[in-house]
Amino acid sequence: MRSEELIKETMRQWAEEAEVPGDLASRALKGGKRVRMLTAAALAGAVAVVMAGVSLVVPSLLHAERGIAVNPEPTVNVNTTETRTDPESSPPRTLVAAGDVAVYAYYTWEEVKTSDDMVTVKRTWYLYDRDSDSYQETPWAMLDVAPGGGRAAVLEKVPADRVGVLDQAGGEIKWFQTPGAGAAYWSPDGTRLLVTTYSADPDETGAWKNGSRTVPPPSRTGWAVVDVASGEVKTQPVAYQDDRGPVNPRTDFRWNRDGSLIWEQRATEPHRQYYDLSGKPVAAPPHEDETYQEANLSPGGRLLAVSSSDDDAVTAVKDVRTGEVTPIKPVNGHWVEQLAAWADDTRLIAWACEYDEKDTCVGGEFRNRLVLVTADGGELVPLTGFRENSQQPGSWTPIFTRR
Amino acid sequence: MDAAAERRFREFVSARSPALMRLAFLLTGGDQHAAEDLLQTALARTVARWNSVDSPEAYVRQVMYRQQASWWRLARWRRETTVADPPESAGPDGTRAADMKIVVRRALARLTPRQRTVLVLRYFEDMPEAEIAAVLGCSVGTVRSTVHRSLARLRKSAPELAEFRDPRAFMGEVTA
Repeated sequence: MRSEELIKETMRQWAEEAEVPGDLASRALKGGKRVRMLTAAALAGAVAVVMAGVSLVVPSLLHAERGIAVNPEPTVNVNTTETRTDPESSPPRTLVAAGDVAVYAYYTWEEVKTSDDMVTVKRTWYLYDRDSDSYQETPWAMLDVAPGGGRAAVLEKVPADRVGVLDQAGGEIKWFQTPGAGAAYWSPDGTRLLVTTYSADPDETGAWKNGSRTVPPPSRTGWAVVDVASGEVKTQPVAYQDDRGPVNPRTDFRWNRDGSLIWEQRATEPHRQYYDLSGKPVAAPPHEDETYQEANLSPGGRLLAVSSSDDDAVTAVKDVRTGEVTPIKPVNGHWVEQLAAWADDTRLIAWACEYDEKDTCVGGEFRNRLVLVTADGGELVPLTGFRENSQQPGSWTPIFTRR
Repeated sequence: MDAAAERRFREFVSARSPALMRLAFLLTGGDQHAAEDLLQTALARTVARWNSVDSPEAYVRQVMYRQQASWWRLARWRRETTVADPPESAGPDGTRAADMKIVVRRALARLTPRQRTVLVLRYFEDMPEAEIAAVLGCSVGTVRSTVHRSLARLRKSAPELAEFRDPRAFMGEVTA
């Protein structure tokens, strides 16, 4: 039997196992009356409600009537700072979270040939499903989860003509026209999207040949800021300008800590260029451009995650008021390599390798796991299992989101 | 809805609910409760538009397709389905094929709703790619790539499919 026939035959036989409830028509008629009442109420209130908006409400109400839980607030794990770990799994299978931060999504990647000389990065995205407490594969080309974990911004391909916003509570996707969208990131307050626009695939680059690769000219065209509630989209052309060219054809814009500015990574000084929302270059806010560590400033703004030049530490935490630097030395069998995100004002989520007595990483520096480490370096708890090699295809990358 | 319209609606549901439930059952990966919810929601929408819908069955089906394919439907994403374990030893060819169908069921149940919907449209509803694209409101290219990814994931979930492999189908080159 050919596989296509096998699938068809399986579906035919499986479908026969469906049981037909006897009261479907009555249930639907009951629901149908609810639809008409809602419509009438909307019209009677003289509120300008589009019909599509009314119909979207109906399925949730029907489910609620039948006793199926409907979450009115699209928020996961509200008001919890519980530490969630899955130290035996890589990538994690159950939720990983600590303090105010959760890993609601991660992606795996692989390089795919697009021609004899070119390759592109293909990412597979996974989202956390609270019902099954597991991460589920999605069909999207790129996504970012909003603070709270209840909504996600998605792209169908890269670049795409539009960006979608999905709500975990259900309903249809809300689309915004953003031609050339290659990345989308939620603002810290979860009200706006920053979409970086490109004229070509920002992940396509030259294939490695004889130890080098050709990076194509930058295709970035600018950004679009989407106000999700009003649907307003403001575009801003900002080409990539750097004499040395980009180190990577993808040069996404990012929000700064409070969402008032936008910045980009540069190959030359200043390594972070900041812009106001009108596209005008501006100075960096205090301390934000003083480090390569992704965690940057703590939520309260007092501590800065920095690199360390100590012999026995590669990361450190700096008190920006006193200038005091505390190196993060090996602790609990781990060497902390990168400070990825602040869990709260006293703890960081970091990448760490397994530390051995020869002052090296077991299996190399690229074999690492997520850990939770205190800002004074005194305590460390593993959060996930080890990535065998973070530089190899198939490796996973977490997306950190405020809970 | 007047009495005559309600009678016609009840007749429609009585006549077509077995076929519609079969579709809903497959779309939800063999989840009886989720299938009932899906069909009931689609029927309720149909009631609301009963007097303006030319083909109620086509309308119900389209609502179900789009409902399943539209989103990150995590609430129903991976509800466990009850699929019997396959026997430990493979028998003659006929038995082996039966085992394989169980394996394929499991793999279908593990797909995302959108992936499963596209395969159901393609292989259960026998729709050409262009029609699937029209029904789901996306491009033919998106349908093609989703079929490709869905089949690849199906094969990943059920490596046993390799021995039944049709290279043309599993390279995502199945055309109408």
